[in-house]
Amino acid sequence: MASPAMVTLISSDDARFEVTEAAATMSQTIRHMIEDGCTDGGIPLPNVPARTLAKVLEYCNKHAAATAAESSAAGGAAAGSDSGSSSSADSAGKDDGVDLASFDKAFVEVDTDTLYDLLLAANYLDVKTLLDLCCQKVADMIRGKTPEQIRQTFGIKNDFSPEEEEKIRKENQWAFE
Amino acid sequence: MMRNSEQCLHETVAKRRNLQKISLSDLPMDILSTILSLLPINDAIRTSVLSRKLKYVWCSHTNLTFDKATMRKTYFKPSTGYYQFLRDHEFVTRVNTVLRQHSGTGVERMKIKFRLHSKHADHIDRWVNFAIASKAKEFVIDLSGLSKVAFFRALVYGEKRIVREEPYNLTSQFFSPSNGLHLRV
Repeated sequence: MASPAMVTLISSDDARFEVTEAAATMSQTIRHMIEDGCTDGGIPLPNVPARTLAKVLEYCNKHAAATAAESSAAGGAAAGSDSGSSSSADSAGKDDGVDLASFDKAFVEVDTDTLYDLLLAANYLDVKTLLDLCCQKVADMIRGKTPEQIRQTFGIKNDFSPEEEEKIRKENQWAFE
Repeated sequence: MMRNSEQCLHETVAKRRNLQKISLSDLPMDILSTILSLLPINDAIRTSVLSRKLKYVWCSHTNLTFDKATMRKTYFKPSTGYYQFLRDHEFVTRVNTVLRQHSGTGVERMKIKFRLHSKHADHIDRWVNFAIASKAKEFVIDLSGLSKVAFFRALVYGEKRIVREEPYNLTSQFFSPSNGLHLRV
């Protein structure tokens, strides 16, 4: 098998990351830049610091590898009697489904600051599945909590006066009472 | 004096840290809106008191489900517990309050599931109109009778209200091939 095509990504703080094109193009933003031929000397990503980019690429590498394993497993199964190698690829494909779900779950077990950074980066880079994953995580952290608990979880400063807050609560009292 | 200047320094450092730190409220509106649309409407509404920036985000909720689970608070309160019986007029008033505040655009899906009858027809008509005006891609309405639990409760408490009331009739004039509304009744 030929070695996969690589691209270089450059973070806002000038760190360089070598990644496979398959992983990089999980980002629609990067995909468009590659299609437009803007890859000479690396692709600059002025909105994403190295710390966040490393984390995003961890996600992209994992998912791109899983997709590759899945398609090769499907290919192996289709090829049929290609005995030894096909069965191992097959089980790798199966493992990845479970593996990927637990990877995703663990991936967003981070502090809120990291979660915001990931949301902003996933939004800018347009990695749909990562954006969905992070949005779902924040939603799960809000679900079933009182406003006080939500403020505490996310460190939100209440900038309403007590009277203003009371007025808003009154409008939809049934949701608070 | 020493203490004051030390305190000052601490405050400045803390402030500087806070300046760099972003909070949930600082995220772009479309992300916040996506997050809140993943929550049931009652959870989403509670975020309106968090801060000024978050006050109206729930008003662009894209997945409106109105049923006996989402039309009341869901967090536990020792005095009342989770579950309270939800009356027709409470349900109707709450749905009306929510729709009055909603931006009325960008709704992907709207679902109403509650035992309602012809006497609520004016309200239901208005809800159907809201779904059409907001260009909801999917609209589900289920006004079927008493649930088994409610029926059992009514028996146990000897309530006399178990009468089959006149069902609500959905007038077909609401629907034309042009408004593209996908309806499931």
